[in-house]
Amino acid sequence: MNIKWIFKKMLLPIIFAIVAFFLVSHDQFLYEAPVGKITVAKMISSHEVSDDFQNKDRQVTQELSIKVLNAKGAEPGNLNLKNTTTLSQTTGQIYRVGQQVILKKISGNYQIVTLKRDALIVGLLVLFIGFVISFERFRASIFLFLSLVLNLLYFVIVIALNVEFNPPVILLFGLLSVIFAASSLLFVLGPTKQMLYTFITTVLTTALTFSIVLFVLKMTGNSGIHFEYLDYVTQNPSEFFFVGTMISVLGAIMDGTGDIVAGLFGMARQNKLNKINMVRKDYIKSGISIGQELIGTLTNVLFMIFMAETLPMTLLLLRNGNSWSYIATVGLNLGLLQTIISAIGIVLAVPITAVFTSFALTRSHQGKESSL
Amino acid sequence: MNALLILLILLIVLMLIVAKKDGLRNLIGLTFNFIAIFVLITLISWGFNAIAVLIVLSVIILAIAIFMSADESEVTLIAFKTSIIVVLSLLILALIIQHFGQFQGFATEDVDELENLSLNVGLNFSNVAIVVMVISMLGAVAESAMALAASLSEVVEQDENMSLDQFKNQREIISQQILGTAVNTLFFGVLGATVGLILWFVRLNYRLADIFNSKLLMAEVATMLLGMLGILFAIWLSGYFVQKSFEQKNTDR
Repeated sequence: MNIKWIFKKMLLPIIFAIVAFFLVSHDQFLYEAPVGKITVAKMISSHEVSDDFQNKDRQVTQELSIKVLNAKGAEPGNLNLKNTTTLSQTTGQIYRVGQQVILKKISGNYQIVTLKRDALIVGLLVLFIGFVISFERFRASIFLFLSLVLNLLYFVIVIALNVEFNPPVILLFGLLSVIFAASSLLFVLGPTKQMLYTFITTVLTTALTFSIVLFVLKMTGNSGIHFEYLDYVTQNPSEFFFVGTMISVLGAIMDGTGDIVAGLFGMARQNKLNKINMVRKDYIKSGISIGQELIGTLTNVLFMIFMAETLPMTLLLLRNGNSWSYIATVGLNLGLLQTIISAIGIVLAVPITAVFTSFALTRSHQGKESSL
Repeated sequence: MNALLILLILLIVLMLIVAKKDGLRNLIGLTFNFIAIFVLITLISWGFNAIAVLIVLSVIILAIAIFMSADESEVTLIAFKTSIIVVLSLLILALIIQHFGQFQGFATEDVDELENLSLNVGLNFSNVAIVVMVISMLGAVAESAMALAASLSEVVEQDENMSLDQFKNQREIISQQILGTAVNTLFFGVLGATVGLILWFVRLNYRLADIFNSKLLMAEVATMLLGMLGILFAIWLSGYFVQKSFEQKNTDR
């Protein structure tokens, strides 16, 4: 690893990211909403507070001077606001000089809606794109980004359809999952037989997993499941829980089926070269043994994501003197259910893919097809 | 009957039927990791420094996730080494992200849930935000490091006379495929997790400015991008280690 390599592969993406961060920090002219910059942040009061659970905290009040960067017409150029929060920053935040904020006029007074975070996100995005291009082949990188952008586009269209027409939610998002799978697999594998089998087994596994889960929930009348604690609900919570879980699990199932199909196709190719005739049972066995090794790590991927999300609420509930058994029903309930559903999906993917693909492979052997 | 319990039993039965001995090991690994998360939460709530707790527990969680999922010692060692280096370096990026993004705590959208709860609990939620980001990526980093080390070692095993150029070519192809699927897994994982929130924004007529700077949504996006960087580095680094050992074996011969 010489200096030139380090510069080209490591420093260049970082430099691009910093430039992007700097540029987007100056994009206020694009904003319809007023954007302000904190010029003075003075602590005007600070006193200790405690609650019923012997927690000690410090409540602070800041006096902020904010310069409006894109003031239009009658908007003032400068604002003075008070900001009160605790040192924990459970809600709200302590502002620093130089930070930019999004403002909104609410009943005659300007208020801070949120911190301006777009520069950070664009910077990170550029960092990721830069590193992918510097580590992978250019063509493959472009394919990956194109696939992600298209998926995002389908997602936006479906959200718009859902808000506009209120169609049956499970059906709409089920369709979206099928489109997601088809589109991403086309980009990763190309229009091959391998892609077709990965796609079919992914859809089959997802459909079977959710049929089983919905059946069990119907039989038990959702007992022990608290859909009422789902966050940000604007529609039927139980349906939305399944929609979210279905999309979340899709990637992991696709990952599993993709590896098994690829392994079996590779094996079939090798067997053809070496004139080995493997029977269906051998393929099924090999498929399952490839799958067995995937189950553990794939389950962990989603487990970590689901558990991490419940962390802040669990901590807050604990500090509010709640017992673990209460937290298990309120904070962790849906995260656990999601983990279990996704693990069932990943496990089911193994036999389904092994059996289905081996049928296809042995049939094409007999038919003497040469288009593997 | 409790539905959660029935589904859990169903999972255990399926896991044992499909993966037999491996299934049992996976279940034990998952249980251990569940306990590890429980310990992490408990220690943080007792007031220990969240970042210190995070570093220790991340190493433990990675060890469980990797060593409990396969027995090949060379592959697991490379995957473990890779994951530790990647996660610890990205922890620094997570600190930078939190400094600029201020993703701590709850937002106005959470106000219903916070009713009746004391908010001055004397806990550094800024550090909790970093913990959430890092824990989210642990699984993805371990998975891609494992997948690459395993497939690449397998290819080397099958062809004893492989040249270094052939090896590099294989490394590139396999890296690409694993990056593609792993990035998709994470992407769908996050899309699924944010469907509700995005619909909330749209239905309540949020301004675009509020959506693209929203604490909750941008925290998810930042976590996703951090995880994707983790996957990318894990694939590269574990490929580098496998190549090192491949070159070593070649000169030994």
